[in-house]
Amino acid sequence: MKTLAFTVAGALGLKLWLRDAGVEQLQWLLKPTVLLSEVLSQTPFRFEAGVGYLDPTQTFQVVPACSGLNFFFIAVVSAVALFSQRVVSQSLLVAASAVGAFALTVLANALRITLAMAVHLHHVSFGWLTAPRLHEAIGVLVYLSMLVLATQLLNRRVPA
Amino acid sequence: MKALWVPVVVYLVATLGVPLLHPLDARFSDHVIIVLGCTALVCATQRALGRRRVGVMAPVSPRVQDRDS
Repeated sequence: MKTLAFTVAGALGLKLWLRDAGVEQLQWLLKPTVLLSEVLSQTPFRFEAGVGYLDPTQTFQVVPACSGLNFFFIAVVSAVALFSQRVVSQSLLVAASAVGAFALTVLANALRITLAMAVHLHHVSFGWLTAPRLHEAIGVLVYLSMLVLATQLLNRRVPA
Repeated sequence: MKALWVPVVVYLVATLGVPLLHPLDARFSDHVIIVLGCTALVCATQRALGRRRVGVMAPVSPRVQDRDS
């Protein structure tokens, strides 16, 4: 319980500290995500200082708000909440959760960006689900599915 | 079951609490509808997949027991 409280407090503190972070401060998350998105979508992105990454049509941007920072904190807190009762070394759990959450964030976010870009380029919308709402819905579906999948896979591997 | 609800609760609290930290691009009511709707969809899919997995495994063990006895 103490480890979970410490992790939540740390995540909230870091989130507040990085609330107005620019593209340069979030490169540790944005760069690997864009690299993986380039592989998945076969689309080269161009970096623009102070803005983010632009696709060749220059109509789709990967900006600091797309970094997946919130999801990274969500994944760390979820892992600690789920496994803190089962793991002896709590500091190792937090460190392993951060590393795993980083990998999961990059993978989920690259997948989300690839799907969102395809939807954006083909001008897809369904009635109430306008392009911006569809963009948000894709984000929730991809992020939450990946998070649940990852925690369920880990749940079977970590002994009770 | 805990592996499903723990990440879902953490995700919902964080996602619906985001407007407390910084303003959203979308209207808050739209944000709530999208988050809750998609969460329900993901949970329903996961539970259906879980039930199917259990359904496939259940008939196997009695047959193995019969053969051994």
